[in-house]
Amino acid sequence: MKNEKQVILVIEDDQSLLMAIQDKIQRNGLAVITARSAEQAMLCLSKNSRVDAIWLDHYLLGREDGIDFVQKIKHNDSIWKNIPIFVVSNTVGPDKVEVYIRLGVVKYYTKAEKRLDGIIADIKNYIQNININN
Amino acid sequence: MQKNGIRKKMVISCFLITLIVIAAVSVFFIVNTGKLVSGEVLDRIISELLFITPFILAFVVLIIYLIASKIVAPIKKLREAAGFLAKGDLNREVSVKTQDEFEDMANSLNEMALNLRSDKIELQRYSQGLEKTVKEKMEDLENKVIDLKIARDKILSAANDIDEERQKTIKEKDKIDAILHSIGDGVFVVDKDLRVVIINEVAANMAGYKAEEVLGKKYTDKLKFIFEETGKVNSQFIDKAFETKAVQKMFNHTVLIDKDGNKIQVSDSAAPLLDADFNVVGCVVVFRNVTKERDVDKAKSEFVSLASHQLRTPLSVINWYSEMLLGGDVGKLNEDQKKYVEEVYKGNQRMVELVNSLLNVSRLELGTFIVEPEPIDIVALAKSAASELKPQIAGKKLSFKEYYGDSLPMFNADSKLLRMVFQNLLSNAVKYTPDNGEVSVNISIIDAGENLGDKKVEEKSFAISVSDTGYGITAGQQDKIFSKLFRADNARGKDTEGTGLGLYIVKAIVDLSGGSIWFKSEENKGTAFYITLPIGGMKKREGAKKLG
Repeated sequence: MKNEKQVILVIEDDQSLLMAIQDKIQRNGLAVITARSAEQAMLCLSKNSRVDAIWLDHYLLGREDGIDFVQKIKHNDSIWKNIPIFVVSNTVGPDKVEVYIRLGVVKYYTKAEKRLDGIIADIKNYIQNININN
Repeated sequence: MQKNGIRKKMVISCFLITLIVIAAVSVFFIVNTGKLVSGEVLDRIISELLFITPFILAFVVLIIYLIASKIVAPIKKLREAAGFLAKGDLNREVSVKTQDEFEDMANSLNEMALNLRSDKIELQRYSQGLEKTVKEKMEDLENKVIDLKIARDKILSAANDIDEERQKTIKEKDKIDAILHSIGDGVFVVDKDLRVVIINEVAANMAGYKAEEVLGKKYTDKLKFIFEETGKVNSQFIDKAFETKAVQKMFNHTVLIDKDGNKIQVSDSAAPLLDADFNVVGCVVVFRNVTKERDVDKAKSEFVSLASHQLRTPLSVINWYSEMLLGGDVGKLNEDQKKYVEEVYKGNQRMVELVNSLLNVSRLELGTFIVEPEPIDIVALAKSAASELKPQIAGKKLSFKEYYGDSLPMFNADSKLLRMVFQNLLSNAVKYTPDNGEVSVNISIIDAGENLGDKKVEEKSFAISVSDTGYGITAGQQDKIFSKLFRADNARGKDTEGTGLGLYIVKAIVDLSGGSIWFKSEENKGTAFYITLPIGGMKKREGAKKLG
């Protein structure tokens, strides 16, 4: 699997941010697919055979939010339930963070407090270590 | 009474007998001697006879008398005695000492008198006893009659009282009914079997029924309370009230389903009703429609949430694009370009901080935040906050001193809020102290009456002090230091960074925890902030969001 790049699905509603994130991830040698709503994200998952990690914002376009999305893919019959999820959002109360953690996301970041390269480095590390273990 | 009957009879009898004897003898003599003697001698004999006759007569009378005495006297005595006896005089004793039948009779009479006397006495005693008994019994009866009268009176008065009480009760019930119906909240009372015994209009209306339809039935029939999230029946608050005999409150997450199936968000509380022996006999439930309240709360916290999201998104854009520019991702920057982009980046960072602080302030003001205290190690918290400043401390070559009391107990506090206090005070101290200065933090326990920063402490508390040898606060501006967005002139002069909200937030948090904050400062000498927090810790507070 060394030839194929690892794929990160970025689900973010703001276009400017989406562009910046996409750019940075690509500069880190990984592939990116993007979605701006939970519905779009589900489509992406079904169309793409390979997704190694998910970058998820809480507030999304459309009626569903990040939690709805996580609930959708984390239930027992889902083939995507083992994809590591990193929630990167701006303001989510600790009660919602708890919900995310309970649902099984890997980590939660507050955008405004974190550097872009920091988050991406974290994600990259995580999925590459998983691959090594596999 | 024949007074001298016997004597008379005896005397007459003896006299007659004597006469007869004399006559007989005389006749005999005369007859016999008449033949022999002549007239003269005969006369002489007859005259001698006549001469003797009185003497004989007297002699006979005497003898008769003696005999009579011997017989008549005792008989007389006996007669006397019997007479007395007959009259009822039992105290006389007759003395006849003739040593014959008369004496016996006298003795018998005496004995009889004695017996009669003792019988009489006994009879008297008996009769007295009887009298006494009868008297007593009469008294008893009288007393009983009195008692019965008293009892009857008491019953009558008790009946009156009961009637009065009944009237009072009816009045009270009417009063209670009136109160219940004028209460704005829904109120209902269930008995041990969970049947509704009282329900007011508000409660019935909310549920969509008439009071009569609900009374007497189990409350679960018509008053359907469910958990908001799961839709499952919520009978917890009543069950727990019965179980624990304590008031149960459920602020959120209970929904009442009315007759038409509409969901009404309610906040309820259940209080057990206890009798004199502390047994639960029922439960009072009060609940109200909090849809509006919840909506307002929700709206408030959503506003803050939305505001923070909307405000922060563009800030994140600026943040990351500046980051990428500075990182050379889209080409290398020359020195000036780098400098300028750095300014953009720094300006943005300040904006981020300001937005954070404003959001916290807004939550504080709207009251939509949560205080969740748990036992925390205050020293560890302080150290962790301090460690975040290590780069700045090192950069300014500040001397950082820490004094922590020995074996300080755990403190019941919301760690996020307390952390903000330390972060703020420490970062201020570091920010507003020139190079080579000193910053120190001190945490200890202080007893009531002890002195802290020139103030006497009222109760046993945690004492925190953060001091520095920095720019200080001008005397003229000290009173405004805790106000929103206030920055002292010298601070603004030295350092353009700073929101002016930090101390406001710190004070709000300290006040919330039941503590106090004050400071001592002298311009260009330094500042020391003092905080006391009650040993008991922070109190839990319900709300919509956590601060920060």
